[in-house]
Amino acid sequence: MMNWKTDISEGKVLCLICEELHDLEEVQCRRCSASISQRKPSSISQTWAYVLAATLFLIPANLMPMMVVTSMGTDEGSTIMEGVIYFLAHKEYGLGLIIFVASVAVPIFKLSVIYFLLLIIAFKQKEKAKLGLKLFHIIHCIGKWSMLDIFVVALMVSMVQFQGLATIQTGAAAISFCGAVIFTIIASEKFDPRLMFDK
Amino acid sequence: MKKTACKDCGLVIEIESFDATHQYSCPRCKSVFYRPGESFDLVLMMAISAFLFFIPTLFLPILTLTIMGQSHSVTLLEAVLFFFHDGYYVIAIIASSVGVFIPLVLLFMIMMLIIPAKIGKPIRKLKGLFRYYEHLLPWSMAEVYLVSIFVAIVKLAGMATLKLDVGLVLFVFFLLSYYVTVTWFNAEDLWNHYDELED
Repeated sequence: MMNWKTDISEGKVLCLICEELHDLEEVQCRRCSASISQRKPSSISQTWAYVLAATLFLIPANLMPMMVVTSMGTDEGSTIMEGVIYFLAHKEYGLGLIIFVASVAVPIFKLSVIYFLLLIIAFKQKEKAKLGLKLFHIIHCIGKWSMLDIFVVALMVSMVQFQGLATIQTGAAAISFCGAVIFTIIASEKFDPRLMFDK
Repeated sequence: MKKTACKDCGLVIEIESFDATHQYSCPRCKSVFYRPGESFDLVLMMAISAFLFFIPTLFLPILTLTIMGQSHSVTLLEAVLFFFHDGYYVIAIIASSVGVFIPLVLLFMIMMLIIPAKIGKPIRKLKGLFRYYEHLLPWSMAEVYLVSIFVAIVKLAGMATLKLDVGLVLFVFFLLSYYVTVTWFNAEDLWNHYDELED
């Protein structure tokens, strides 16, 4: 195993905002005056907290209706999966796939990746760090897309307002799904991938 | 000569002759730590055009819906404000801020950062602004919002007669030019530029 020169072994601190390298004793970046530290402070415990919160929010998000369509006096709620099935039934396979990937597959994949990363650190599996980092980059790219369904619901609610004929309201799942997505993004922001590579 | 550390694994990296037109990646974890951006003139031009596309979308109708002879057209501003009438505050605030307002704020920040650099003034006061830019970046979801508009249109097509209006076309142009601006803007280049100014 090669020995690499890292910021810890060299006694350096990197500013994550402007990427200027400092000596260990400095606490504030001399270029952009952001507060700096060698590793993100309390990264692991904060990531655990947010990822657990996101998991809890995801359960009602999948069981409760995402939006309720009222037309001709009848209320009809639909969950995320029912929304996907609606598109498949209307032969809109592409859109059905987009919704399924964005609101079912991506959130679950993101959460499992963050758990995997936390376990790499907890069990000191340094040889898995490169794989973990690759997955971390992937969830950074795809993370935003899980908000897709929320936006669709928000747009439809504001567009379809015909008093007495048809109205759309948001269901209980919308808010918990929002919570799940937001907590997942915060969790991946709090996570410091360098911890996987440290001895 | 450039000395930095990898954001993702903490490796200290020294580059003898640094060339700002090339992409650099970390020798240990292979993640890219420097990606050259486009010239500031080009970025500034894209940012300004995004702004110009955005202003009319606020007031022009994006869609006209017709159900059983009753028609209803929506502007972007109405779509956002409607929620506040109906009490869906949380989702309204989240959807409109990550989809529209944060991208706008980021555009504004990019302009505020580039214009002083063009005039040749140091930016001590704007350093705080720059810190917010990096923190806001993961929360801007304009591209997701764009796709969600199309999903909503397909969903609505089943319930009502739809007419797409000019506001929607401008909004698509806004989101596209916003996206180009953010991908072309390289914040690190800006810091190096200011370092040269101050020396």
